[in-house]
Amino acid sequence: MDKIFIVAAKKFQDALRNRWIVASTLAFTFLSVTVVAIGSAPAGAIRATGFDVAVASLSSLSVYFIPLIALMIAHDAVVDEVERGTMLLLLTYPISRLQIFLGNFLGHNLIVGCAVLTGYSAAGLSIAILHGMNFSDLLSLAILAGSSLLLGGVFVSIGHFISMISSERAMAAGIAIGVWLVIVIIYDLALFGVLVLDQHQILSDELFQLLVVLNPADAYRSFNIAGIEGIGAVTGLAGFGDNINAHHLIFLMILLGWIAIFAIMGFWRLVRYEL
Amino acid sequence: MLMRPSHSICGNQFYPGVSFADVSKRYGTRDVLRNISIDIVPGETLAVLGPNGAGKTTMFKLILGLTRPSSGNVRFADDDPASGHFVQMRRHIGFLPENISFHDMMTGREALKFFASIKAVSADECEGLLNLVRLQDAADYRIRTYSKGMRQRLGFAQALLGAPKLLLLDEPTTGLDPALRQSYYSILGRLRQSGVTIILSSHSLHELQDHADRYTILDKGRIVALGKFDELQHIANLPTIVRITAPAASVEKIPGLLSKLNGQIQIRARSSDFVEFRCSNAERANLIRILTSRNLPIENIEIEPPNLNQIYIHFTRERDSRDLTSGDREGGSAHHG
Repeated sequence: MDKIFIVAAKKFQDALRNRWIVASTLAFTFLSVTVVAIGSAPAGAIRATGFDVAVASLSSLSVYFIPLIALMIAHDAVVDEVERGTMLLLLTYPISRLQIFLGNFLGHNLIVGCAVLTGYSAAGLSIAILHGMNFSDLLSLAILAGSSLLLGGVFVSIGHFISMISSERAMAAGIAIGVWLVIVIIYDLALFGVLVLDQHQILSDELFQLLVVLNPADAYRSFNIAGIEGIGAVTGLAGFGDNINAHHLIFLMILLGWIAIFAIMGFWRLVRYEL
Repeated sequence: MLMRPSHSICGNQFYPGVSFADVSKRYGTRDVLRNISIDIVPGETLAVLGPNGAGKTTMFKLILGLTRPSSGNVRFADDDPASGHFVQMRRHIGFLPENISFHDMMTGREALKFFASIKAVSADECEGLLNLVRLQDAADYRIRTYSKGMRQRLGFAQALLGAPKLLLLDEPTTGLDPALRQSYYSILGRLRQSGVTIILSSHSLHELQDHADRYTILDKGRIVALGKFDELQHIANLPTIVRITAPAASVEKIPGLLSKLNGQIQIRARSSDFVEFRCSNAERANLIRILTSRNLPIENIEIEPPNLNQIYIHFTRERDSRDLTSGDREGGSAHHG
């Protein structure tokens, strides 16, 4: 167990020395505060509180940023060490591949956790100053942060798998960018495109909803939107949110499922890896 | 072949050996190692020689369990390195890979402490090792500022963490200047005396002379020679060079005197004040006996026996020519142990 922590601590230390990761965390923090401030502007006739708007804005920001940070950290976890030759040396030490894998996973999730904590703390502070904050608000923010950690975990897991199937760092970076684009941006656009063209002929409502929430970014979005009363009015997803309001657990299971599937596949590749 | 147990226990001391039994390794369609059989007994130092791509590094990887043999068995202390539980045995092994690399952003001390923590070795030992490899003054600089030689020394320090019983050193002196090489070999000498089993490979062949108990020459994945230095010398039967410096009158007489040796001694070079011969090891004594019996005014006799470099070239060339004539025959004629 202690070896897992040794590797995790080293990964954490490596990330702190990576200027890109530090810069993206700072950018995420800055944008979190910004969306909270902008979201507090008078909202016209919409019956949403300033806090709800702020949380919705934060979750929208997170759905783009957290996968990006997680992939940036994790996409070259193994391929980078293999290319440098440091993995060869590590594998000759009394440490199992499972310990290396879990250490990497834990270390990278800790970094994502730090990014989330930094961004959300700053955002929470801004909300408290602008709107005030009671205990239930704090709890909502904590739940949003917790689900963001899960979203980060999904992309750390995918990143590790990418790092195991790539023969070089450049390839891993390319795949990571592609995965981010597809899951976070293109998937929804494509699905809506199909929906418009299909005119309900093949895609039933149920199948469409299933396809939406199978995407981890949408599962995360749905989890957070469904949790906020009146938020449907803000996001324009009111009907959708009503239908899936009872399915929090399913959204969480979907996120955990993504983590588990890619973690298992990544570990399987690492075990079979011959240097 | 030396037949001793692959590991022995004396009191609390654990001395593991390494054995390869008919080991072949294939990557795709490429045979990297072919039918390797060798026992490295506890406390022995084996030098593995061979051109690039001969399979030296693959031998190390098999001992470490980083890759599995395609056929045959590799054992370290009677254990299979490719098995899952072998992980714990690795605390007895120190490995210095060829072209060692570390995380550039770490300092030398941080990197050594990281590996020490995985081997559950105390931080005090790290300081001792940094002193041993003379990196104490540079220990707090980032590794990216290190020269090749400094990285190599840090690599050597990490290989020595936890007082390993088996040291695997792949091209260990790359990038070291002559003074550092000398201090490196003196450390190695002390380790040999303390009973550590050492397997080292090198391209600097003449350097390894006197630094190993046995030598094996690999070529195209096969062992083409294996034995102690004088055994290899004997099998190769390479000529010794004898250079005699003498006054001009004596130099003129020497070829005539040596004609009695039935042409087994060839003149290699000659001038007014010296003559140089090439002769077999067996003829060397006769040559000197004849020269000294005639009371010629000889100023100097220099004898240059074949060195490891020449022996190495002999065996790898022999293999090339045999490949051309007899195809894929097992290269065992020079096999000796």
